[in-house]
Amino acid sequence: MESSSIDVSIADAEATRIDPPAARRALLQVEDLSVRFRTRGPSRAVVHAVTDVSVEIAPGETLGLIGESGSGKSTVARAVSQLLRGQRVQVTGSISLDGVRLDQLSKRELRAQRHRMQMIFQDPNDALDPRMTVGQSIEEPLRILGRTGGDQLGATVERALDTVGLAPAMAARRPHELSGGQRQRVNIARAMALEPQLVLCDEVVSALDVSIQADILNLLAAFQRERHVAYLFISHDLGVVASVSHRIGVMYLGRLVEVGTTSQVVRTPRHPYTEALLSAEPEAVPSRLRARTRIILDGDIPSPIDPPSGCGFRTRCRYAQDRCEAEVPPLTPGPDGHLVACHFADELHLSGRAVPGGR
Amino acid sequence: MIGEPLLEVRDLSITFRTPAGVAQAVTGSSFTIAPGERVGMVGESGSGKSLTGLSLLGLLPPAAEVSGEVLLDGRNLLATPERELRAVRGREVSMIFQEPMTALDPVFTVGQQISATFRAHRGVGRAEAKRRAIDLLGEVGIPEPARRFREYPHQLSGGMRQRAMIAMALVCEPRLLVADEPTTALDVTIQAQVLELIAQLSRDRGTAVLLITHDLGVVAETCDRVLTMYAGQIVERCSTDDALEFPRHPYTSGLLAAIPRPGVAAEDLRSIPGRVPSPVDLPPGCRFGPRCDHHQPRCDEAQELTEAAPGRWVRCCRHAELDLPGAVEMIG
Ligand SMILES: Nc1ncnc2c1ncn2[C@@H]1O[C@H](COP(=O)(O)OP(=O)(O)OP(=O)(O)O)[C@@H](O)[C@H]1O
Ligand SMILES: Nc1ncnc2c1ncn2[C@@H]1O[C@H](COP(=O)(O)OP(=O)(O)OP(=O)(O)O)[C@@H](O)[C@H]1O
Ligand code: SF4
Ligand code: SF4
Ligand SMILES: [Mg+2]
Ligand SMILES: [Mg+2]
Repeated sequence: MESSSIDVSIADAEATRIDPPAARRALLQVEDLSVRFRTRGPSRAVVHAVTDVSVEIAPGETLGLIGESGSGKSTVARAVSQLLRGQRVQVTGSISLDGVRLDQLSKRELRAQRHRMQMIFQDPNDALDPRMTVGQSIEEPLRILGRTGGDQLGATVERALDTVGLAPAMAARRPHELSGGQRQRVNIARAMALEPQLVLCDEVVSALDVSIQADILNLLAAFQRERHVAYLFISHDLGVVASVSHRIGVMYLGRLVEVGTTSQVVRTPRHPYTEALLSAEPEAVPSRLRARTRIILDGDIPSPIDPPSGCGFRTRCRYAQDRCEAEVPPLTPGPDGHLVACHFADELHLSGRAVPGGR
Repeated sequence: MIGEPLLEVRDLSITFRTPAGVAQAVTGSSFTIAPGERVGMVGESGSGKSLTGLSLLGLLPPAAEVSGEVLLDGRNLLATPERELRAVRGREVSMIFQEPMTALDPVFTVGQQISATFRAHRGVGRAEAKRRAIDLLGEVGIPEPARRFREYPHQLSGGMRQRAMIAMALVCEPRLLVADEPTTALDVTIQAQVLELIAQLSRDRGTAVLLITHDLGVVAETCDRVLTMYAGQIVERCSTDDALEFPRHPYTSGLLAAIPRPGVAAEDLRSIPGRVPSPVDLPPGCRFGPRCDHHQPRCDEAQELTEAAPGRWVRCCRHAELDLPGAVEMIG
């Protein structure tokens, strides 16, 4: 566990550095991001998919995002990568990558910035064109960027495959000839070949068997060690997020309700939703180590079309009081830069996970 | 768990003829489930879990060739004619799936479907069926059951649909419930609700449960015993705590080392090298052999499931000499 205890101290150092304002400039800076979708059809409802999200990622850091289905995780990633530019969507707030305001760039200017930031998705099938060979899929973005030409390209592809542990012969295969894990490796190779500073990973291991998951997580960790790449890592699986992240942000109904180092969030959560989430996550340990009473939340996450007034979590929160209905709790820093959006965070004594070892 | 088994599966094998050869999807499975007992079945994709589950209801695809026995209270369901099986399904054995829409009909309201089942299987009148259906929806934790009774499946959230399907499966108070990845598509807070519901059923009504999942955490939270499947075979069969704390099969131990958990850094996760073999091209000896760190020449003979200690069955000739890490070593 030696390496992970080092990681914890790095993560702790990072947390203190980030608040008060970073001494070193953040790589990604998201400020007051809100995203509204207008639905189709006669109802013309407005979906409050993301509301007032502010978050930073330092170079070489992993920020995990966790939360239930529909909480807005993917929407944050899509807004960051500037994929939400359409008529039915309204995006406000600012998004800067290495000091460049991405939200103010034209499509054309954005293309020149693309290589700095890449996205990898859950379904490895969607991302790869079934008609192209693996080699062509890896080459394509490089060619668009004019990175290299002719023979050299073959060598680049070979190197890219090698970084993800695939044999050069794989370059000739088509996606359907690969397993799910191999396809995800190709996607990673393709993203990493551009040498991005930031990679947005949206449920990249969710569709994979546990052993293959471990493979992919190992690989992403190795890239970070060697190239100092930063990740925004989205997953609904707490174990997955905790194993890769320096810090974790918890989302509920479009808002960030808690942000802290992995150890802060997992061991000493400060938001009632985080507490419930930690308690609900099944643990593969013998019963003698599981002597805890589960918090079973009632009901479902409310609709983002008609979110509750005040605190979004109040309809399921066992600590809710009158004030929670009247006022939206702002995300406020507590001890050691641990951020939480709950009126009673200082009074509640919430339980987390007893985590031996590192992160 | 003491008591006579309700279900006894003996030497179950399921094969398919495919253009590439005979696919051995399930080979020589034997296990029992007692009333009120919850047994988990874990294993990677393609290991034969769903086919095993379907065989307990006589629902295997027509192309499947099956041998062995599935004894429910001593009666072999594999030798029971379809007409009689129909009475067994629902009444004695029910199944719930990952995707509730496979079991719910989109053109009828949830209430119509549940009360129709009441009328068909329990012979009650229309008004009584409705009353019982509403009661049952409330019992599985659906809020405002009288209103939900009138809604169509697509109007319900994922978690509520899953509950409605469980309610359908419970109409006849089955003695055995086969749940195939019932919570895989759900959020963890909803998963916790559904698992609690299943556990409560087996406690309160003595329903026997086979819970199929790829998630050892789900088994740990819910099941008394666990069957670990690899490439169509049960490789370990024991209490859940034994499997987690002292796995005796290298595959079970390997799964435990691969699970991402708080406290374990990504770089310390250990994956199992190589890939699951194709069911048409299985290694002749130990099926896990090509991926096993402990492989020796004698592993190239076919491996039998043998009793390593009372109630503890392992398919590995080296089980007695290996000291394999379990979940505690992973987090310690
Ligand atoms: N194009 C769209 N039009 C309308 N609503 C949308 C659109 N995209 C997303 N939404 C809604 O925005 C909300 C947030 O969705 P998002 O996909 O970001 O959630 P998520 O946290 O990624 O969930 P999951 O875990 O299921 O992937 C949801 O209510 C979703 O239905
Ligand atoms: N109709 C069929 N014809 C040929 N092979 C089949 C057929 N149905 C299933 N199989 C094979 O049988 C094996 C076991 O399938 P099964 O669905 O039981 O796996 P599983 O353990 O439930 O996997 P998953 O976790 O992906 O649901 C697989 O290799 C599958 O390809
Ligand atoms: S603000 Fe109120 S409702 Fe919201 S999490 Fe805190 S206690 Fe619960
Ligand atoms: S029989 Fe041999 S190869 Fe198979 S699991 Fe045991 S040690 Fe490994
Ligand atoms: Mg998403
Ligand atoms: Mg299955």
